[in-house]
Amino acid sequence: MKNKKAEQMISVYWFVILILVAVGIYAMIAAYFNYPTDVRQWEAEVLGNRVADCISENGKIVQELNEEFKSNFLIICGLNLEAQKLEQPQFYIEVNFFNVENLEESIFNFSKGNYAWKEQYFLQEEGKFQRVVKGSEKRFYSVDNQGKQILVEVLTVVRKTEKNVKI
Amino acid sequence: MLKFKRAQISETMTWIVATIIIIVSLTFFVFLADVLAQEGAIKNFADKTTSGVSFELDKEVKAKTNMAFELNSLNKEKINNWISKNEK
Repeated sequence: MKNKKAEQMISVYWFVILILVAVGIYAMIAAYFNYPTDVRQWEAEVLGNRVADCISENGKIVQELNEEFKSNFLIICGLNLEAQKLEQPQFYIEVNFFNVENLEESIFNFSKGNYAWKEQYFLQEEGKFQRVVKGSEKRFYSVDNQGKQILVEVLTVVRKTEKNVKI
Repeated sequence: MLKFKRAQISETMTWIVATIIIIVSLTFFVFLADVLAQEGAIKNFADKTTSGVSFELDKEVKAKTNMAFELNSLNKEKINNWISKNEK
């Protein structure tokens, strides 16, 4: 009779241990996968490439660098910065065109998105706010339709902190 | 009777110690998983993959420059210097 009681106690104990181990494993997996993978760097790189592709093809500038392109850049390039319908634009795009003779002053430039992300991006170079935004800077060379040498600088910054970083 | 009681106490102690060991090791591994997720494994993985992807994506932009040089290769050194200033 006593043996039976002891056996019952042991099986309850095993049951408790089993639950404990299961909860432990669940907690380990939950802790590991609770941190989202930050893909913003890739987003910024891909966005930068899309912008570069829109501006230059086969080494030639394919867009007319005028006010119309400046104001309709997103439509012409088929970009939608508000696709996810978040409170504020989560991207910033800036494109500068330079003449090869003067690399200090851009001959044409435009930007779209939230300017604050650019400021945040450059603050990161000073070691501040490392996780707020991610960005990409690209430079390439192209020739315009008159054969002029044009240098293009594309800056893309992505915020989307809430989706990519555990705060 | 006394011998039986001593055996019982010893067995109970074994189970208590075993339970404590299980709880301590589980807590340790939960903590380790958290630390790895936060700092180590995922971050390093992401950094490695990011540099790999960046390299691949940079090739597309470099191809544009190379094609432009085939059209007009004047000031090649100056242009290459300007582009390389951007590469970290």
